[in-house]
Amino acid sequence: MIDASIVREISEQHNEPEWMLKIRLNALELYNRLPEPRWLRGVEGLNLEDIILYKDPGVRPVSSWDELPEDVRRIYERLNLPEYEKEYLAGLSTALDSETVYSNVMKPLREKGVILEPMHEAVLNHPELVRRYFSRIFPPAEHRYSALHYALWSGGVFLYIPPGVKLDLPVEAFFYISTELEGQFEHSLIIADRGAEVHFIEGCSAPLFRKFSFHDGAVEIYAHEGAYVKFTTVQNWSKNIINFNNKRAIAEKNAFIEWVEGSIGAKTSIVYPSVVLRGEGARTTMNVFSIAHGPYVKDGGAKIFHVAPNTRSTVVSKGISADGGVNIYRGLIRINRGAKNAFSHVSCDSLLLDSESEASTYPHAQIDEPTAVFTHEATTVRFSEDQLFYLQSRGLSEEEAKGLAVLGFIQDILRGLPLEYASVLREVLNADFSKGVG
Amino acid sequence: MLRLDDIRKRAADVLPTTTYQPYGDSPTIRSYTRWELFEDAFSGDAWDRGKVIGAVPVDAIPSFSFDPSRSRALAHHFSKLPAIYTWDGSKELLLESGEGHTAQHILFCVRNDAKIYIRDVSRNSKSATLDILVRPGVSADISLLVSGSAPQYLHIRVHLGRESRFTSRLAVIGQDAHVHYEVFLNGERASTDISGGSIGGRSDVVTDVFAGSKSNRAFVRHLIFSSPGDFLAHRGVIRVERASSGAEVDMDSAFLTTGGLAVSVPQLEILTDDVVHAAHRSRDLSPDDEQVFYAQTRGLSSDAFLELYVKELLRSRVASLADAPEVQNAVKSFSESIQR
Repeated sequence: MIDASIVREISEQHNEPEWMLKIRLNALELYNRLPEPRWLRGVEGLNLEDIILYKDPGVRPVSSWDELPEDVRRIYERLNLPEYEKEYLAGLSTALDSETVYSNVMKPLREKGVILEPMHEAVLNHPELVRRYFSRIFPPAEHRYSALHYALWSGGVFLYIPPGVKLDLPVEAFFYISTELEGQFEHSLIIADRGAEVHFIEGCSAPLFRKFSFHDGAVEIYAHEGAYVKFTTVQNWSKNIINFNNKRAIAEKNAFIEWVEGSIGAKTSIVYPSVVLRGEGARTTMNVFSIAHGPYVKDGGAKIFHVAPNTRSTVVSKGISADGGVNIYRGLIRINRGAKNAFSHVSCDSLLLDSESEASTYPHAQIDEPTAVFTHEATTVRFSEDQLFYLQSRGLSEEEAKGLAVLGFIQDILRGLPLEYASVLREVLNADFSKGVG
Repeated sequence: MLRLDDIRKRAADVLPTTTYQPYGDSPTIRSYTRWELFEDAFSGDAWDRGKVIGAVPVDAIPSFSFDPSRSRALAHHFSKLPAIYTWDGSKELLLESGEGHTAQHILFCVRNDAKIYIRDVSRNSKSATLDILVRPGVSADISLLVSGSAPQYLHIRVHLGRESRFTSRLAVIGQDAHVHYEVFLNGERASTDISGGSIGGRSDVVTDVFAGSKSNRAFVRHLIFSSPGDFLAHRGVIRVERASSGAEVDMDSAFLTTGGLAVSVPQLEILTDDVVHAAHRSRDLSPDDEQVFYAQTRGLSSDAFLELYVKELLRSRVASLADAPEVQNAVKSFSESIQR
């Protein structure tokens, strides 16, 4: 049981209006009432009584790196974020523990009405806008940990793109957990108004702790008519983070949501990004990849709800299991009655690199519309001795060969990443697999 | 061996702590059976043995045949089981419901290659378990027709020895039918081929296959025909255990809907990298305009083509069961709904 006093304290600390406190308290009630999910793997050690549910980094949000205390600035400099912001980003927001500490957007975009603010500030500065969307896209009642998120949320970013504004460069939010046995519950809300376009990148990191930490974040995206939102995550938490993430987008008429969800780090990761295709002609593509390298559990997938006619969805999932890793794909395609001529194609492939690893796929289709077209295909393959022999005969070591197999397996998805991200990811994977697999 | 009194007592002991589906709370492996209807049916006291034509009553079962903790439906079933039968495969087996809730438990030990036809008709609620042991080197071929107008729980558990084979054809036409296959490929080179179709009404077919030895092969295909008001689901897992090697497994779950709900959840759990082939797919098989046009250019009206298409699609899954009068009537109704 989590006491309401903690929730009230978080709310008071941020001078929140009554309506936000009400959302928190209702969510807390749901959390205490909803059953613990029994199907999940890898959350056995999770005891919320052991963890700090709110950790104030002691830094007020600023919009210039120079205003940050030196020790905090160094964290981000080590991650090369200030440099990266200068070269590649239209805006950047960074969260440390339970609060957003830095937020900045390019001046010309500010002048066009783009808002990039810490979520807590947006609640106070733009209450009508936030209230219209907050918790309306991903409902607190979805499951026990989404309810927990809404009760305890703190930090995160609010991004609003006015009608017709197209951002040429991406906006990034970066989340960092600095201590063990800590809970991070950041909430991000992205609104692309009619005809707006944005690429939002989410990154995360934490040092390796002796004990675990817990991440239970949320991302809500609303794409209005004709808007385009590309959302890219490459989750690279350290290997003792238990990671839940509650992510959903709603696409109105002719809007397009492009989603790249990558999962490399974390001890256990449970993320099913979902899209509701609410308006006629709305579409989405979801590219999901996860790597369970070591005794870790990656439980991911994609969920699409076709509600309107002529909606289209494509899901491509790639899971790699090595060294005792467990990869699980849980997907859902729901095509409602009336979603005439809806089209959905799901492809999910798993690669097993040794006999200690596991791959499971649980795709779920609920089709209630006779004119819809739906296809799903899944295969599980292994890295065969023939392939290994061939690559070794070309001069590669076993580890290099396996690294190459991994990169080849997710090549299609890498193509969808920004160039600089794809090259960093390649380096991370090469380094990871060169240590030896199996 | 377990005698009937022991079975009832042991099942009653586990009943309070057993759920209908161990993982029923998962958002993607949720239950599609209205278990509350079964709970009502099981709670009555007047249980009937119904009619089991072609089998012989016995008073005990081997212990491997008794596992009530797998599902609350099984625990209920065993807790008041009125009789046990064995069957040697020499005659057609007909299962019929009696007055009140009917519970039937049939044991098969297949020692020689056998072709088995089972027709299961239920007017009242019913639970039946078919426990099949296929001896090494033997093949069992079972055609199963399930129809009825009341909640019906059918559990088919098959253990396969070395180089044995289990083939099943299933046709389900019913209201609130829950058919659950559990096939254990225990022996080397044991294989199974399960193929079926659900036509109309409300049914939930679960096909679970566990490959646990060398060079096992499993092929599962199921087809759903759902018209307005129907609610049909096919789910199932093929699990390749860590001890298995060289397995070849494939599941194909397809549907054709004219406005009813069709649910398809084909699942794979692969616990070893030593697999030759592991794949599944799920798709809708609605005929497209080009197919209809092609048939018309060959002199078939679109109505005649659609009827033929549905019939042959079903026949590809259920073979001769497509000729049963119940199945033909159901196909006719479905074809009419597609033509509309």
